[in-house]
Amino acid sequence: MKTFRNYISEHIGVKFIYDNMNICSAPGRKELLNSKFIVAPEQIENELKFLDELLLSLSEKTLTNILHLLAQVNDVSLIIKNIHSGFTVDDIQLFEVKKFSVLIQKLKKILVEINYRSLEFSDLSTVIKILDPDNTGLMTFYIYDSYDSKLAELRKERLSTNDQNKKDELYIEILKLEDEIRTRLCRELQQHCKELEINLHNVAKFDVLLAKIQLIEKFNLCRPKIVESKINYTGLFNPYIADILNNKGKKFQAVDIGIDQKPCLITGANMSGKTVLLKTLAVAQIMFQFGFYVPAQNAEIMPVDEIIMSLGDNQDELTGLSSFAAEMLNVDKIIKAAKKGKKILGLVDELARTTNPDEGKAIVNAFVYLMEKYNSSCVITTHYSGISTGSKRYKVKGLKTDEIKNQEINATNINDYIDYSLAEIDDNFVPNDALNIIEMLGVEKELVFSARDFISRKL
Amino acid sequence: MPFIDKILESRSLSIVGMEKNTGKTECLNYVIDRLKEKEKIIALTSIGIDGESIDQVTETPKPEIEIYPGTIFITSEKHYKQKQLTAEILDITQKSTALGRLITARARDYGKVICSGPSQTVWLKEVIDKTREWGIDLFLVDGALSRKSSASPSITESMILTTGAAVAPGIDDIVKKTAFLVKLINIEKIDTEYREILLEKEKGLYIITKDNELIDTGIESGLFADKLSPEIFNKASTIFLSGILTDRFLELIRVQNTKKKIVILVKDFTKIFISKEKYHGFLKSGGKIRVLLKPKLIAVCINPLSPLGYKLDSNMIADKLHNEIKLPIYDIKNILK
Repeated sequence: MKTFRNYISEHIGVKFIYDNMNICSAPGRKELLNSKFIVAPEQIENELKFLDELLLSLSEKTLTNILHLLAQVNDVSLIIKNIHSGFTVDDIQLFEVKKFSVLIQKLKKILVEINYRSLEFSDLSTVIKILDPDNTGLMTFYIYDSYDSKLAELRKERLSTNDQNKKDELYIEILKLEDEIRTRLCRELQQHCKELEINLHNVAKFDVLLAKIQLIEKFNLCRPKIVESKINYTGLFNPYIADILNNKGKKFQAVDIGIDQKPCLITGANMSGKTVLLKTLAVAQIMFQFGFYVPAQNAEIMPVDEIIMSLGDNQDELTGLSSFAAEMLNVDKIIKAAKKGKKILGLVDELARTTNPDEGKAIVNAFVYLMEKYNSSCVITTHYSGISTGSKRYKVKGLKTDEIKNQEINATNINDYIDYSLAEIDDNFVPNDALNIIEMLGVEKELVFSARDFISRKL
Repeated sequence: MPFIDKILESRSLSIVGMEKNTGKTECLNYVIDRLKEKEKIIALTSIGIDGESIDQVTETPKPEIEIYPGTIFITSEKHYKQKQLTAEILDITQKSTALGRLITARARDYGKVICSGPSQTVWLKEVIDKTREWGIDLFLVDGALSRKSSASPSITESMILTTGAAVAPGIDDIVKKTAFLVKLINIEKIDTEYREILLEKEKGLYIITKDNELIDTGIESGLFADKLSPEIFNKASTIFLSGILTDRFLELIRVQNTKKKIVILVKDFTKIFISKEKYHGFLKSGGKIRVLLKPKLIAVCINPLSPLGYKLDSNMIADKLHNEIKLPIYDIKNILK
């Protein structure tokens, strides 16, 4: 199963989410990166519940306090592992274990105060007692005198003597005794490795939860409702692209879309945001299946076994495949998964666009037919007219024809005159806006003129 | 000793050697000893990864410093493990140097430690500030004259410079070289709101305009200064070099600077690598050099013993040097006698 790390490298939109997460500790980062794509609905529900409960009990002030604690948590997993398998670790590592335990106790106390009980941190007071024999309550550590009366004596003697040779001799004796004590301490700690491990895991998880919580506010995410057989969004947006637009002083236009366990055909002029829509659907679905709230006003989402995309931006040169071959291999993956009865979300951008229109159209028709046959949720964008399907069709509204009259439109402002919202349609004709758009982009007029001429002659 | 009282007027002190074998470690141990008598709580670290890596190659050990109970020392994991005393670990950084993370520990015994501290000035400042939380009277930095981007000792409030026979073969040359360095150490500090921002810059050439605006010239270092456009010269009131200042750059500014008075700004004196002649020429033409960090130089210590085996007359060095720089000069070995 894919991990969050995999998705970060595959989707710039997911990477953007990750870059905006305020993960405080090294264990938290590890936890998030290694977390797995969740398929079981009850498990996703569980993850979301963690967030719901945390949202209820967390105030701004406690959040700051907790983040301050988390920032000090180091990854002690290797140390725990070493102690568990019987190694004797050094003072630096014992210090780490003590510091970790004190931090956990502090965190535990805060969580009790805010009455948050979803994550159970086990008690580490015994561990602290082992590493703080004088009960100082401090995070500092050394092999304390009180561990062994002989050690105290030796140290006293060394402190009082002026003879350097004697000092050196005593120091060697002290080191030997310290080693014995260290071994003893590690044996004692060995009994508590389980608790330490559980706490390390919990604190990592808690760090991720807090980062997810902060994300909700930052991007205005919504709590998805888990459903069985459809995906419905109102006000779906893409945080990454919204941010880019925002920096240019523009706004991302959110869209409403509903997808059933059937193919869903999307048509629309060039530049109407079809590819962005597919990427947005992917990011939202990925976030959902990692237990995040999602970028929409309202969302009902079914968990899928797999998200399979064909966006035509595979790095084909590297695999040696032509763009057509790469695309067809993705399509093959979708069909095979569908035939196996897997629940998938297929996202296919302009299927068969790189081949001849006759065969291309036939391929799209056949693919849509198969998706219908195997009840698979697959969103397909296309420029081909005459695709027959009984399923849903959307058209991106496209150029705002009444607004563009008397406007100076060019490559830099054309986006302002496009309506990115979707309208459900039942005809199978696609809009012919391509020539209008290239004209606005300021492409050589002769091209537009001759193209129009060809069209009129053909008709 | 008089200069110990002077030291205690500031909260941080660095001890910087002009060369190896100028008696820096002896000086440091002497200062620590006096502070021990005064029952002061001190913290100690060392900078200058440059010198250390050489030490690692030649495998000559870094000098050990003798400390007393209560002293807080900051050193790398590697060197912490080589300590020869009982110590309590107070803190461990998350950031790491080439020799591992930095351990802050408190000595609970007398003994020797090897220090290897932060590798950047800003980090050193963080460490000094953070260590204050443990309640210390003075923070000592075993300093090095950083050639590259390692931490600068100038972040401390005051400084002791060590010089001696290792610097030059003859007394007059030692005096000349030392006096010139002292002049550089005493270059005036500038007041600018951009201090913190500029200190963090590891590379680049920046200007502060006449309207006090900070602009990145996009030029990497003083080496490529000939790419500076006349436009920039018109706008600039100050040019900041994040790296080192060389004769070549000084000359370039001097030539441009006939009418417009542009101030050259560097982080501190350790970034200035110019010859005495060019420096004086520059000043005479009305040029100005300023620094972001200026420690208060409180004394110069001399080691008359050359690593080659001969010994110079330390009284003569002290007298001649005092004539030039008007600062207290000590030969630690004489004091110890």
